[in-house]
Amino acid sequence: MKSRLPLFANGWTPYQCQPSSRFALDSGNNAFIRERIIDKVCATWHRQFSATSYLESTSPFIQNLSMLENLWLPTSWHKPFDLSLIPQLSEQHLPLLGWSRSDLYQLLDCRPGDLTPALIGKLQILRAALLNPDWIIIDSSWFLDPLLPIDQSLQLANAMLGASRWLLIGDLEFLVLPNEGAWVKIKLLSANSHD
Amino acid sequence: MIQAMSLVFFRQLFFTGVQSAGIILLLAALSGGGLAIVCQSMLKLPAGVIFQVLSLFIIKIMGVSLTLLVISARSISAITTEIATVRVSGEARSLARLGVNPSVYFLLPRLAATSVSSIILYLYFVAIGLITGIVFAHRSLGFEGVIGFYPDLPLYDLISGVARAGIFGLGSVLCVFYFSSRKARTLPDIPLAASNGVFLTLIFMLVMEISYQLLMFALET
Repeated sequence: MKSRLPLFANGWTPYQCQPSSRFALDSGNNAFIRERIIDKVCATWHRQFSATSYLESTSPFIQNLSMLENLWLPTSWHKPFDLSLIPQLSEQHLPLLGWSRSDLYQLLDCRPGDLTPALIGKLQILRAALLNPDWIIIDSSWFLDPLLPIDQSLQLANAMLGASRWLLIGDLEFLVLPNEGAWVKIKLLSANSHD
Repeated sequence: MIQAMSLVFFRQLFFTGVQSAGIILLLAALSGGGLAIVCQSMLKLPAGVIFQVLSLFIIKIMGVSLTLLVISARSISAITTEIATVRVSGEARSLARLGVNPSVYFLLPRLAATSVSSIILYLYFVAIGLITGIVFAHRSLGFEGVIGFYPDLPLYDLISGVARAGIFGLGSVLCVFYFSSRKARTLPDIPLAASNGVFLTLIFMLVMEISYQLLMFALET
């Protein structure tokens, strides 16, 4: 898949967006096209921007790996990053997550299948925060079928990832965006821009 | 990237190589010991001839076939299941969206580890098979007596065995990645993909071995 920037309506580009800005990209009601758009946007964003993370509800972690390795993998893929740094860097977020140090170490030893959806949801946000991302790509499933109550997810995400630029991708006709006024709605220029 | 792939490599090496060592030990001992007993008690062959028969049989045929059979049964089915599961469950797609190339992460370390394990296990099989065979054939031989036979090892056959084991390691993982695991679309397809993967790698091994033996026969005649 080529990773040229897709064409957006009204000449929108992601290049001069302010930190903490919120964008919602309308992908229409076709689930297959939505998946292709997310794949394309993620592939492009990873090439264009130094740090991009991703949030979803469906299968956020690899079941066969420990949570420590799951948190470490995206961070270490593009630059050398020691496994032992994950617990160290996670400690700064413990007050927000409501965990103690021993809770963290216990969770890092577990596999995703051993954890509740709420813990998975929090760990996913932690993984995103560890990347210190410029951009967060959000699948609409993160809002529609959240792993933990949506207000809790948003509160945590705003506290840990508030400085990043958010790009939500989904069917905006049916998606109720929290704090609607803060989101800038954007569209692709044509249906073929996901190729 | 290298760190993440190294972790997968060593984990796969442990699973495929280290954990198969016990069964390889058993098979090698049975092969070498059984053949030596037949040669000595039924055929009444002298020790030097028994070693020649053992080394040819184990290095040329049994070592490669039995080692690769164990790897197919143990590791290939597990690798196929894992790759099919991450595809079907959407984990591979999520990983790609996080910027991690799933083909590189899941395939390359397993290719390398299966190849290296195949080679090491083959050499291990040959060593155990020959030692057991000689000890069974001539129980009065001391350590120096057993080692004394080793300069007569057919080196060319050993090197070709190593090459075949390495090629099998590469080919089998590529087979399952490109042919078996991609057929799995839903969870019930996964066991089928795993058995299909084992079947494919066994066919690959048989084709490779038969082709090699026919080629050697043609070159010798």
